[in-house]
Amino acid sequence: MAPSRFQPAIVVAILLASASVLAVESWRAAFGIAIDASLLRALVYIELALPLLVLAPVPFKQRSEACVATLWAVACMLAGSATLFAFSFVSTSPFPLQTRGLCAAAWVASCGVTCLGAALEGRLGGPWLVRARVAWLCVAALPALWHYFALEYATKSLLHLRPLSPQWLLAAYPDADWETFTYWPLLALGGGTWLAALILTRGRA
Amino acid sequence: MTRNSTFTIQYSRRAALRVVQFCILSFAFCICCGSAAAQAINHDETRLLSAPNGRPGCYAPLQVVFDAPEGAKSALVECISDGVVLTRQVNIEKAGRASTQLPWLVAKGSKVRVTINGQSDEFTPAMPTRPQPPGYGRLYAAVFAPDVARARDLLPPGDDLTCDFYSEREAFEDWRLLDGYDAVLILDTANAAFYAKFWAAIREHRTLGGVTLSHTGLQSGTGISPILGAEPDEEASPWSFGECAGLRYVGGAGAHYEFSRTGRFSRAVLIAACRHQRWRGDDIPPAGPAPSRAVAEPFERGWLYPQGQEPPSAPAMFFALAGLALLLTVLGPIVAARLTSRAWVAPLAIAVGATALCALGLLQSGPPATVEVFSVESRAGDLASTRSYISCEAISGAPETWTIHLDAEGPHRLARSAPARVGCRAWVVDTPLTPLLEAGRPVTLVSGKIEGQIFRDYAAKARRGQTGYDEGSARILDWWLERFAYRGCDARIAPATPDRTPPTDWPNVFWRNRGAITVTPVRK
Repeated sequence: MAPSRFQPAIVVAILLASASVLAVESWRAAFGIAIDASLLRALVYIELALPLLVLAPVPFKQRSEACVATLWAVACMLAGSATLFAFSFVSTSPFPLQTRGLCAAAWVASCGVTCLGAALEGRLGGPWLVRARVAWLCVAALPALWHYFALEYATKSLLHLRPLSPQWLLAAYPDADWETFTYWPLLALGGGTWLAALILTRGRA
Repeated sequence: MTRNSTFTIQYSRRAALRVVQFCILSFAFCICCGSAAAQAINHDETRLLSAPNGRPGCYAPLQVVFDAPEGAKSALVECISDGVVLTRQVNIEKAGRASTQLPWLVAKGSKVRVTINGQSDEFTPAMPTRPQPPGYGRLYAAVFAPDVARARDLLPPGDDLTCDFYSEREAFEDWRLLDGYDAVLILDTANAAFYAKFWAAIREHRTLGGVTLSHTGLQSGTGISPILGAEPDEEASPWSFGECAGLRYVGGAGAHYEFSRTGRFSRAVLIAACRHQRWRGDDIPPAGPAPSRAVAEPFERGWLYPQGQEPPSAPAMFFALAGLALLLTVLGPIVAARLTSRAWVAPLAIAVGATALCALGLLQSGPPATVEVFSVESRAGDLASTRSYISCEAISGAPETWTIHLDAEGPHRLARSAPARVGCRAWVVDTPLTPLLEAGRPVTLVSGKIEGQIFRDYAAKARRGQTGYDEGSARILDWWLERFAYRGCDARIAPATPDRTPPTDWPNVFWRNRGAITVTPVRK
């Protein structure tokens, strides 16, 4: 697990590396991506997966450390956005800008869940951080698979689960708008778990 | 409450009412002044000089009259039509009535705008009541004569010829005002100043396919040579009709006919000269619709469709932003750890820096819109003109309006918006007197055959790359042959190297030259 302080660098590096991979023409053709809005869309998908994979605060026992972990999450989100916006020369599509709300919600949820895991690990011991991350990964990723299987093999869609997954939401709402407040489950999850992490660390010096 | 205080309150209320009244009046006065300044165009005197005639889809001369306020130094006059804006800067010497002439597109929605000191006024002139559509059997001519009444007697209106009459003083300096006319006739004029003003416009109009007629005696009489016909780079040949004899000069796509002053000129001579040129020396007109600059067939039939956007290459700004993001996120924590022991400084610094980079990233211009150009050069002798077919996809950031400054230096281009397939925009641009393009081996189209093959077989060979044409040239050749070969238009055709100079200064645009051909008409 990389130290928290290099997580923004990891976010930037992964996005740039992904863009480099997609710049290879044969690979780009294999993915069905051109140097246009589709490249930005692919990068947004990768960016939305990063909160699930990258964010891992150090187990902490102090409340201030929870705040610092949150600051690192904010730094990661903004570094990812800066990298994404550097690719604005590719297309004038408003899609990256429109997905900033969704991206922020994803980082909030990931931050809250991982902070809770880190606080539990700091207080109780045991691999709580890993458990929290795996649980969050399942919650975030499985609905997408459910959605896929539901669309492929059944007549009934499980679209009611779409707010639980950022990728799911993106797939369901390709033109997701900033102003549409459809991310409340993610924000509620992130806020609730973050508050729980603060409560768990209350009174501990 | 005392009496004094009541009086004071009443007095202050009156004062407040007066202040409010003053404010309202001042506001109304300002609005009146503003609207008076904004209504600069004189709607009564602004008129089409060719009225009641006008060729739909072509530009006609419009006299714009406007009132210049005190202190105004210049006015910007614009002719605004769908996709094209023509602008002219008019210097104002003194306040009051001012006027200018500019081409106005004969089409619905076409309007003029006058902007003075930041305030603008718009006016939509009435459409001509007698539209003059192009036709081989019906000519539309401009006649310049010192005695307009005599000229009207000489050229009475008829079904086969419609004339607009202008006096010498109304001579146009710009060919774009003559856009709609098939022919320009200059009668009985020996005024050197008139020719000096008119010469360039006439010459450019002729290279684009116009027919001009004048007396031969004018040159020797005025001592001005070359004036209209005697261009050193134009080929002369004898020509006669009835009692009227003279010389025919070929320059570009058009021709100039000089007739003797001793001969008897009539409307029949004018019609015969025009037919001689437009029917390519044949006794019968070519098949199909008559040529007109208003026709933009390749886009209508989908021949020349855009090939998609050129993939953008990463600009220096991208590398700078990506590098800065990487440096910030790698060095930020290390430097912050060296400078301070507070844990929150590093993420905060990275967050602030990344926000700035976000803003810089959003300032980047989008990918350049790809604009495609096909060109057809009309060449005769050493004179040529070019018609460019320009199209682009209607994506975000793609150009929407072609702006032409009528007073600008350089070629006197004239653009008109053309109907295009869904999701695309198209223009047809005429450029007179273009430098000759480098051309390949010419082939001759005679009676629908090229090198012994039906023109379609030859076009198929060209598309397969079995001739000297590349892909783009083969496409424009294919269209040209389909358009003209059936109509008895014989010509020498050759692939050409397109001009790399961008036709206009659109920002953030990638110009893709698809192909060019050069065409020299062959007469019967």
